[in-house]
Amino acid sequence: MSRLSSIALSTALIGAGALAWAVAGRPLLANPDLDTPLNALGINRSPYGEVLAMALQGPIDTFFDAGVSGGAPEPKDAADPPPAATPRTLNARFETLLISFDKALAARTNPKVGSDAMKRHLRRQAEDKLRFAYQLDPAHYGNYNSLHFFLTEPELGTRPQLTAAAAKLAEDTIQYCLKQDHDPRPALTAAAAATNILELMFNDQHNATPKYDTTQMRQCLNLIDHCLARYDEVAQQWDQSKQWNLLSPQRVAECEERRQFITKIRDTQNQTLLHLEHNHLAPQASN
Amino acid sequence: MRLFRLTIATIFQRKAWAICLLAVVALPFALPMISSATEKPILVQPARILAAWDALWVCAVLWGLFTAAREGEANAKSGIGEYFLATGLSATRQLFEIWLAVFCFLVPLTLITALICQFAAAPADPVEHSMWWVLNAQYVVLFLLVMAPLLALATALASRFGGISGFAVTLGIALYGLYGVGYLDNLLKLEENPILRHLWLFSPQYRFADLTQRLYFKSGALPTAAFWTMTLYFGGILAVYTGLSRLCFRTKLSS
Repeated sequence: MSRLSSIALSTALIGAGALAWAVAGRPLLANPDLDTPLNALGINRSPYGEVLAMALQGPIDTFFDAGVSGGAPEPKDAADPPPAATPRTLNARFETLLISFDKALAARTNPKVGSDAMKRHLRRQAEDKLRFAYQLDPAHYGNYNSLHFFLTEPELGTRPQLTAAAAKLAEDTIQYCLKQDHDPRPALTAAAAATNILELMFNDQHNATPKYDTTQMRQCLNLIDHCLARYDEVAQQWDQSKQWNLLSPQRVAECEERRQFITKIRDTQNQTLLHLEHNHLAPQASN
Repeated sequence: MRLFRLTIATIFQRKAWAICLLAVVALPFALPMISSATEKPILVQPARILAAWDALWVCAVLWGLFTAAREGEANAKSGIGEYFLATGLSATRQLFEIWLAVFCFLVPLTLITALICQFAAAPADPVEHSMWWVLNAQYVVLFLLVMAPLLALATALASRFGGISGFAVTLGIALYGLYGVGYLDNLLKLEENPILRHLWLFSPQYRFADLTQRLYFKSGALPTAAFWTMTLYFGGILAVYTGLSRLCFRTKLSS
């Protein structure tokens, strides 16, 4: 084949290919059935994502300051262990050295407090981290609650509000969790999401013109009951199939603790709601 | 087919294919053990599907493209290309034989993955089961249609611009087609931009060939019409890349 005809063949291939590419591309891109959500290697919501989400709990819990407070020392928890004595082994010393490098790298020596733009950037960074962990496993109790508290975190002198973002997060979480019928734990996350919504509805009552009425709150409380009933139902199935034995004792204890915690919150919220309903009825009775 | 046999023997001797083979065979059975499937046995099969196809994608875009690029570079750099040209083997024929040798390693890996999915992760429900092999077969066809032209392009680019360029460019195209277009789409949903919209429209949307989520959620086989449109789409990309590769391929490194 001469050089010219070889180039002509290549050009023809490119032309014909580009035509097929363009012609076939449009119906594919317009087909909503083929539109899959962006999920690299399918890791989000997968069994591997659930493990990673658990592993991410550590970094999420850690104190995240990045020098915003302008060189202020980290708050010390009363429960913090006393500072360890100088490590003896070479490995431990080396580890301490590496940790000190990490701290030195993040330390802010500038005496001025960080600018607003920097604070916004750090806030965004924290949100990204929390959202990433949430997306890996939306049914994870810790990750959902961390993101929720972050989104509803009050500014100075304000109360947490049921913002659109927090409400959507809770609704999505409830919807996703109630679909998981092979594990009781997501039902607890759903119940936690419902208690969060209800709590924010209570907060809304402090406003001059409350947006939510007691009927909506009662519905929310019914949803909590539904989630807890669902938990009990699947947990019973797990009892029968001995699937609880596959979990470590700590995880089982954690589950029971969360169940008790949500039940307590639910009972308190029920009392508050009864009180609110009574208050709403009282003025009508006097009319 | 002497160049084909030489390339096959070279790749075989380097033994890196054994790592890929081990990953493709062992990871689908090993990885579920460190997933939450240990707590919920119902998830073992989805975890296996994910591990199997993800391992194959990773092996193909890392080892496959790298090997294709290295063989293309070696052919041009070592004088083998010139030698074969002197014996009457045209440049296009050389490109084809090198490509075929790399492709011959990728096909068994793909078939093994599909077989693992078919026999170690198939749903028990008879209706779902009957669709399972169709979906697996569709996945194999689309996967090979995506990887084949990328391998040729890696070889051709490497023969002209060096191995690193050949590998990095094709790896970039593959990742962009798999995930980058998704991010670009999200960006366009936030703010419309006609130039980016066109770029997105005429990007190689390899995400269509990633049917892992369909297997994972047991969504059933692709509708026949959509599958044939996809075949035409990836066939078009194949023709474009083939043309570009033919134009780009050199039997000796340009100095």
